[in-house]
Amino acid sequence: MTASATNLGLQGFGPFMRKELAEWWQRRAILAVFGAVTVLGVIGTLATRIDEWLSSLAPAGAQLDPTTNVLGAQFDQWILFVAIFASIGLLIQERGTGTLAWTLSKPISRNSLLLAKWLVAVAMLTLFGLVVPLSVSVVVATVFYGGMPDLARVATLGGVLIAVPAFYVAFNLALSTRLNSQAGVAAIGVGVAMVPLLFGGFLPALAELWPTSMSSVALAMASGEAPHLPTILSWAVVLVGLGSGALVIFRREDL
Amino acid sequence: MTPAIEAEGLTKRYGDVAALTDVTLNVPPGSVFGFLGPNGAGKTTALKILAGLSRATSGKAAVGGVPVSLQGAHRARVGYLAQEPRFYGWMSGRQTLAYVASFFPQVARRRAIDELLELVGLADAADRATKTYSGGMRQRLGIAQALAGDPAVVLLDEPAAALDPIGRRDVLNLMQKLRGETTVFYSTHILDDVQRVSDHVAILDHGRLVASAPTATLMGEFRAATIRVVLLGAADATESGLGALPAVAGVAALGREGDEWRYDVTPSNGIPDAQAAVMRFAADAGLTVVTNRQESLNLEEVFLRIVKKERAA
Repeated sequence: MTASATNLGLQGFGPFMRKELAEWWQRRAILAVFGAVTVLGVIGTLATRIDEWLSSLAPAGAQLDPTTNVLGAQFDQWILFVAIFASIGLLIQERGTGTLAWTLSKPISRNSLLLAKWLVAVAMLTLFGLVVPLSVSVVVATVFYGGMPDLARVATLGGVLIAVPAFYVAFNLALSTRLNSQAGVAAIGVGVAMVPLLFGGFLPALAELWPTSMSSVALAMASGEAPHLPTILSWAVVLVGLGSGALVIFRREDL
Repeated sequence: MTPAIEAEGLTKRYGDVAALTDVTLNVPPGSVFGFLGPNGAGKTTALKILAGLSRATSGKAAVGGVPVSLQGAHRARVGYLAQEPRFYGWMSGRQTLAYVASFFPQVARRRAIDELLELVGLADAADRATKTYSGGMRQRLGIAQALAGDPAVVLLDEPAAALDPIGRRDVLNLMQKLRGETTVFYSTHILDDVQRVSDHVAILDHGRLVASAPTATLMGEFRAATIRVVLLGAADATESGLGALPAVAGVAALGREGDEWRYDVTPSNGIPDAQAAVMRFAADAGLTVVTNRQESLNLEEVFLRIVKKERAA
């Protein structure tokens, strides 16, 4: 670890990040993330063709444009749910098995531990929940809709959707510094995702500023709309708040 | 010389419960320091604070002069073994040690890991996943990983408690080997172990430090108040003869083994007076004195006396 990293309170970051990467590869959860998002994404991409096959003709007004079908495959929803469920145990499991205390008995700062967990989880969810499934959908759309989707728009969707796992991993880690129940963390996570749906009708401002609305921003930007700055700003503020809060609490936790 | 571990007024409270109260301690560098106490005395709490896993409610501590904190700069000098060591089950023993060593980049890893595996007798199981290890193997791996960073101070929480007699002997031998190389600070409630390997001992009871001294000094402070007398050629009447001596307050006959008659003699004034009186009595009666010495206590008796005295106070 370099002197500058140590000065930043990031002692032990490298070794722990390598451990996290190795551990994600060991887990079946990452296969589940990849499998679920890819299968659902491909089905979503092929929805128009499936409708067509079922009714022997294309539904009225059906979009056979490959880009529209990739963007409409609801990757924003799938990544949200896999991000919640794949990260609920990141801290709680380690606390329960005693490996958290063991690792923290080594020269590693608590900042490093949380940051490495967040970074690796977001990277793995991005890779196996967005990049690979979107790539598969692009191939599927190219084959079944007779042309390659607009890669820039698909990349915009994937790029902005990283905000979803970034938020949920931070949210779950922050909750886990206080809660010791994976089911509790998952339930709160799903509840938070439902807020725009439940309250958006009569509190549109709340829905607009809610950090999970970044998935709508991603779709809008991929469709060519301008970035919606209030949502992006709100997401960034909440993310920084969650990270800071988690660090403050975690740095005081007795193990 | 800077103490290996310094604690000053260390106190830990969980709500109304005091786990540690005002513990002040100096551990000399290179010593094997036994931290002794009954279950629930606060030993694990103290070790967790020293490892930077738990915060003291008040007081401070330092390892090698570096202040102890949860952020853990001091842990670069510390190896720690928890009471029930836990590892990542998917890692092998060798990977576990490599993982720990990666936090200490100054250590020549490969060589150190193989040496450590040999040292704790896990070379044959080095490439097996730790989830397949028995409790004793986990304990051995725990000791190896505590040494992986070539630490100045090793904190061991009940290192031999979960081991079979052979494993326990090996661990105690290993601790003896480490004497002078590194400071070993270990908690235990097994008094025999402390007497065998520790050059210093501290006794904790109900969260309070009730004694801390070199083991020999502590043992020397506590001697029995009786003299063990063994005579050759004695008879049933010898007991009453000894009891009639002015320097003797009481005699308890312990029995006969062959020609040797054994007695516990309680002095009325002082040990030397009573010993001299016994010698004169034996000479006058034509008896041979085999033993006429003050009984020394073992650590268990010393421990019980200290704890009893402290609780009475």
